[in-house]
Amino acid sequence: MNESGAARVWSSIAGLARRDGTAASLRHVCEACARGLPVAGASVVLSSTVSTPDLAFATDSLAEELVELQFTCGEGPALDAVVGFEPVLAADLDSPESLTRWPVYTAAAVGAGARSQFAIPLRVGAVRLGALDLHRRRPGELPAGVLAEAVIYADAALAVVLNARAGTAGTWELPEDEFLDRGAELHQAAGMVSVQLGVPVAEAMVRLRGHAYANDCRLGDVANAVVRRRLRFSPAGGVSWEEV
Amino acid sequence: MTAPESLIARTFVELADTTEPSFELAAFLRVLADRCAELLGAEAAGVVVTDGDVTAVEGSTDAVRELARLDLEGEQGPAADSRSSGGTVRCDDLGRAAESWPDFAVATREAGFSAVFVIPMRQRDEIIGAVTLFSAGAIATDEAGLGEALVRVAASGIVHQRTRRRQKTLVDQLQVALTSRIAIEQAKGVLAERLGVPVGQAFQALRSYARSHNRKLVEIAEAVVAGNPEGDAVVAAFRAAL
Repeated sequence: MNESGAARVWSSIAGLARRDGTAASLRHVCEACARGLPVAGASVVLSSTVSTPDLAFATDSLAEELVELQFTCGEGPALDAVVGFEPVLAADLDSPESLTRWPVYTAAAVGAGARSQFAIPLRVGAVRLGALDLHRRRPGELPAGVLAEAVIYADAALAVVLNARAGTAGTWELPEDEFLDRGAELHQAAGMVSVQLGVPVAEAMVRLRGHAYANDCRLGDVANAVVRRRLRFSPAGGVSWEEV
Repeated sequence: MTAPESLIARTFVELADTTEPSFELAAFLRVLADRCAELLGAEAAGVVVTDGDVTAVEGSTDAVRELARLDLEGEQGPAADSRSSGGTVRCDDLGRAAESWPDFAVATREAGFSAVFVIPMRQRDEIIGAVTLFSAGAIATDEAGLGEALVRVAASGIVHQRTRRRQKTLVDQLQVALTSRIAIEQAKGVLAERLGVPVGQAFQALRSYARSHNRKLVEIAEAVVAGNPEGDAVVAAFRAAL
């Protein structure tokens, strides 16, 4: 992934958050994305469970309508991205392929004014949290460079969601976000904590992050302690340390 | 000759669908060659595609495939002419074409054909190939409009398929590899805790299960993280092996 592209994405989000004087939110991610990429609008849908996603934010009324239509029809690019492995790219919603794949949704989406739609999953490994849904009013592929940046916006959305759930919003610097650090230990620790607490891995990620924040320590150090079995999370609440 | 409408309709559907994961260019071009010959009243048809770094030659018979190849590789023949002019090319008497296409005309007549008709395969302003119809007698052009429509649908399918393939490659590079790696780390953590072993050993458990069940590592990792029954099977298999 292109480093300067990532830096541009993160700083555009941080810029909007600073303007509002608040922590970076999904609103900032979506707005920065709709401004920074050649798309008409953006939205984020989140899945508390995979079967019931919710609209978290939409930049404009068409983006909002497209999400509503997908929920109503029970099908669409964003819903596919929420449960799928990879971006779902519909370069022309009014094409035979799109019609075959989403027979009910496409006519409604085109009627509402959308002609192309690109949905990027919010995923960390096997954990699925939702999708970033982009649309345009004209047909056409998304150029490769734009798609690459869209994936970075999706990563940012993911970081914002995890921060918000851990109650650490505004205290972590987005560009240095550790949870999207590609280090193996964090993800191993999340797997271990999910078993210790009997919760999904997504929730374990949030708990690790919350713990690091509450104890004013680095997330990487918390993960390292878990993997070395010096730190355990207990379902009753709290953690136990083992001296070495 | 007028082809039955149901066959025409079926052909359009067949040529428009390049979205199947199992799509293969060679098979697709053979269908195109067969249908063009059948619907346009020719005895055989050859297809050439030169699209970026992809070059493919197919024919409704082996003989015309070789004729199409001769046209392409010798850069001398009706398809080569069509590529430079951008339009259709017809010749009703190859006996008179020895000067323009010496090798092609001779080889084609030896194969038993005396007439050719070429429809360029075009996507927007770009010519990505051609369909050449071969016949022993003059080829009627009253179906030329149908031929051009068929070839246009095929060209657009080929280009879309190419775009999708490139995007998929990019997407794979960007996200899927990363996602798979992280899923495996998460699964190692889950297994390490469930089995009470170090993460390195948890990885062995994951790998030996995937290998002995002939499954992809990442699929097993997903099952483990999701807490599916298959995840329990990995735990059970590891304990049984102890």
